[in-house]
Amino acid sequence: MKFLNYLEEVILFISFLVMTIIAFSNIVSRNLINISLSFTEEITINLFVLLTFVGTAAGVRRYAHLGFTLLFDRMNRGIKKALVVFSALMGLLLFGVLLWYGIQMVQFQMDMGQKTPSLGWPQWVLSSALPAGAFLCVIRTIQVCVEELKSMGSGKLEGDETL
Amino acid sequence: MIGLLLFGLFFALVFLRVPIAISLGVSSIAVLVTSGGIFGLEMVTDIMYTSIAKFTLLAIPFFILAGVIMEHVGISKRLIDFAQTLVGHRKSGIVFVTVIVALFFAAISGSGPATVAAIGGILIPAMVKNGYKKETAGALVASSGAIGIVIPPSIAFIVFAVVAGDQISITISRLFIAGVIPGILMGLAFVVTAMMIRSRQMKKGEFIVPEDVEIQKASGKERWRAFLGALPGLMIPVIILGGIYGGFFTPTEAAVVAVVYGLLVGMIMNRKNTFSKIYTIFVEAAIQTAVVMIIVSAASVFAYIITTEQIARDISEGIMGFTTNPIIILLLLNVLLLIAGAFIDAISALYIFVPILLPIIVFLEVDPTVFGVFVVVNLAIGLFTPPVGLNLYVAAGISKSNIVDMSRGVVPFVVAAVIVLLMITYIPAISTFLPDLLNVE
Amino acid sequence: GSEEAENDASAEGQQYDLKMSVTVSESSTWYEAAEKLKEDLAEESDGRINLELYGNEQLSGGDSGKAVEGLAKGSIDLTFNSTIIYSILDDRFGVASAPFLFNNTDEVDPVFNGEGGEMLKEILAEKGVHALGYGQNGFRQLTNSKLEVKTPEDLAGLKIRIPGITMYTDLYRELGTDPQTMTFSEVFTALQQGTIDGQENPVDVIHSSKLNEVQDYMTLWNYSYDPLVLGMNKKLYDSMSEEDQELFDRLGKEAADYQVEIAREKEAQQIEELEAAGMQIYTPTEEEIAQFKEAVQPIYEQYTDVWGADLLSAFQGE
Ligand code: NA
Ligand code: NA
Repeated sequence: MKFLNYLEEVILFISFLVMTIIAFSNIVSRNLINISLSFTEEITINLFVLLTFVGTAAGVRRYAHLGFTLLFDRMNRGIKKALVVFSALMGLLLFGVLLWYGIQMVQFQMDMGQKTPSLGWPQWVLSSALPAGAFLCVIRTIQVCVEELKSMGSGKLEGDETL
Repeated sequence: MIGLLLFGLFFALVFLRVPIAISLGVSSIAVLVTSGGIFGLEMVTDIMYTSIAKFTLLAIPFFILAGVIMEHVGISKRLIDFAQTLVGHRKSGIVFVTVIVALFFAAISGSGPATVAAIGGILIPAMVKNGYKKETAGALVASSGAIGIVIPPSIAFIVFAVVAGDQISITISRLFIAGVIPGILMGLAFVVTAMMIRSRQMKKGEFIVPEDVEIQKASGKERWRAFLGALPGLMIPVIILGGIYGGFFTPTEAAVVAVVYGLLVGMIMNRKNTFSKIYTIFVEAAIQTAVVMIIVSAASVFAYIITTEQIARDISEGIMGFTTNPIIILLLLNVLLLIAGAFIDAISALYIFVPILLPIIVFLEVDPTVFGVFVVVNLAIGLFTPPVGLNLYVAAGISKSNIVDMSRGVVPFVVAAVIVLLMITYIPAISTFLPDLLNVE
Repeated sequence: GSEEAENDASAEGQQYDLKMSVTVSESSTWYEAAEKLKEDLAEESDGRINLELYGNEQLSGGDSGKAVEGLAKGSIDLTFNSTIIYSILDDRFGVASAPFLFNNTDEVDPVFNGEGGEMLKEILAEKGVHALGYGQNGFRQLTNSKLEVKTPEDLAGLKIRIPGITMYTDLYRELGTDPQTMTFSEVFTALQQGTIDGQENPVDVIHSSKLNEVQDYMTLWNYSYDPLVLGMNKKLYDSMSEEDQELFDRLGKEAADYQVEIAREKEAQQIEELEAAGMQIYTPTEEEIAQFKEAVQPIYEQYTDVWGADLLSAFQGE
């Protein structure tokens, strides 16, 4: 799991850095040398998709996702455990749908030979961001569920860890 | 019936501690499946993908990143120190600073959450330092940030003019100017609200000004020194505004300029461990971004179902069937849009409701300018109304407060904004005065 | 023999609930034509075929590329989309918008009703789309805030917002401009603040987006035709009875032709309104158009292989 932490962080760092560099280069080149690089927008927005889904996975691990804990905090340990499992199942349902249909979307774009409009790159390469991110989300959802159940067993769970 | 299932399931999931984004997604999936699979589940992937892969949304990650950079680099702290020497000795000085800065940034940014992201990192800690509760500070910034779509430039007004332009005659320029006074009124209402909260908490003894805060009026020399320290930070709005109005970059690109500028200042001010710091900053900002964007993404599937299943149409037909009294209908439209704004993002709501509500408005002979302001202010309020209020989530993330506390903290500000909204609804001159004066058709 | 008859009988009774995506809003000519198709289908099939219409590309989250993908995949049954959007599926679709290919609409119609239209239909079929007919988004025209553009020289150095398609980038570079691709929702503000100088779009888009508020000049140079495909998912079409296929082909063609007719009427009126609103409108002379054609020749050299020489000559009416 250490490897996964590292992988997620490196993906987030590189994609965000590249987004910044591309967007900034476009402003500079347009104003200083009168050459627009705006066609690179395609790369930026797909990196944004990658950043969102990998960031979502990292957010699952860090308990950063937003939700209501009011009722949960007042429940006894048994119900809390059930709710943790329930919440994980709901997460798996959404991320599972994204993973499954994401793979189909990528597959279809490969079969079609679909290209990005500006750069003419294979669309599936860029779209893979979605199923790849969804896959990480699935792993993280399971991992966090197990961790949370374990820590509840030993009575260590801090309720306000989840925002 | 389908509407009931969608909203009922969403609330049930939220109360069972399922994260908001997942609750939005799962309730949408459930409706897609039960409505006979007419719309395949593959739509979920397509819609969630396209809702993020939009260039205009890039203002959100870049302003979040700029905020994190300013915090790490110390720009924010210096700005707060400067504001402190100016108005810190006054009773509610920091509240004025917050709202003025929010209005300032609103004039830069076209979107609400981006405004919150840009100013929250600086102003929330500053308010907390002055004794405000985290949730009050977060609530003030979340609500002030919503002014971003009321004061020009505003993506919301552009979309409104385009959507409404099919049925009525309205110009973007006129709407832009029309938003100025309502935006300032909202700002004033928030200042008053925050001051009232302060004095109420003081009476109860809950408001404690920390001892290390300078209460003495600062000397001219101290102010000058603080000004110099804050100069790199003060330059940011100057560069951004100058860049946009000078035609060098778009409002979305302005966020990127703020990022690069912040990084440069940071590297000059602090040359140790640069790489590892930049790494930490980018990763932190990326996760903050993802937490917001995954909600935007899931909410777009939710909005998609509201549209395709005709839920919005049913509601507005219900309203017309209920009464034809204009005063009551306008009130009902407010209620409808406020509820809609609580669940879906402003742009989706514009596409869903404007075409449906326009015939009602034409029937009531409401001025199109007033209607535009009316709709946009409603949706701006939606930005900080729970359960789905993007500004609220951005502010909660920045202030590290619990979303339940934030939801409570924001109630007085919602009330204040609704009072302004009612004024806008029933006093057309608030919207039409300035464009008429400047002769903007 | 008898088995086929049985199939036909059951197919005749087949009930269809189909959904159609339209890129623009309910007041557009596209939507009006889609409504005509919906009504005609319902009437001639005695309510057996129901078409549900969705404006503003709602079925694909506002993204036209996704709508075309959905149509090819079958998650959307019918759409009205420009061939410019289709070029993400195949480069050959770009031929229909080749620069200064048609001087006016009189030259357009014979091509789309003839061999050019047929050849395009075959490529569409390869991609899983059955074309019922061709509508029009119209000729794309140029607006800017700097000067009256009459000749290629006038374009030098102008920052023009263009669709994010490789051919247009190459074309505008060839014309000496500094082309920008920018999301359309930012264009109004960018034009207003001078971040960019101009943009190009069909008159309908210029009019409905109120670009006259921020653009003083428009050049009616008909430089690139923007046709619409009234497309249907091919698998769905192939699964239908012959009678139903005939019904869709006939009514689809009628609806597409109707769209072209009302779009052209509306466009003439919109140009008048833009002029009345203070826009300075210029129509280049034949000589000036010849200069533009000359200037874009390298694009033909570069793209003939991409589009295919046969397809290009069909579109050149040769
Ligand atoms: Na604004
Ligand atoms: Na809300």
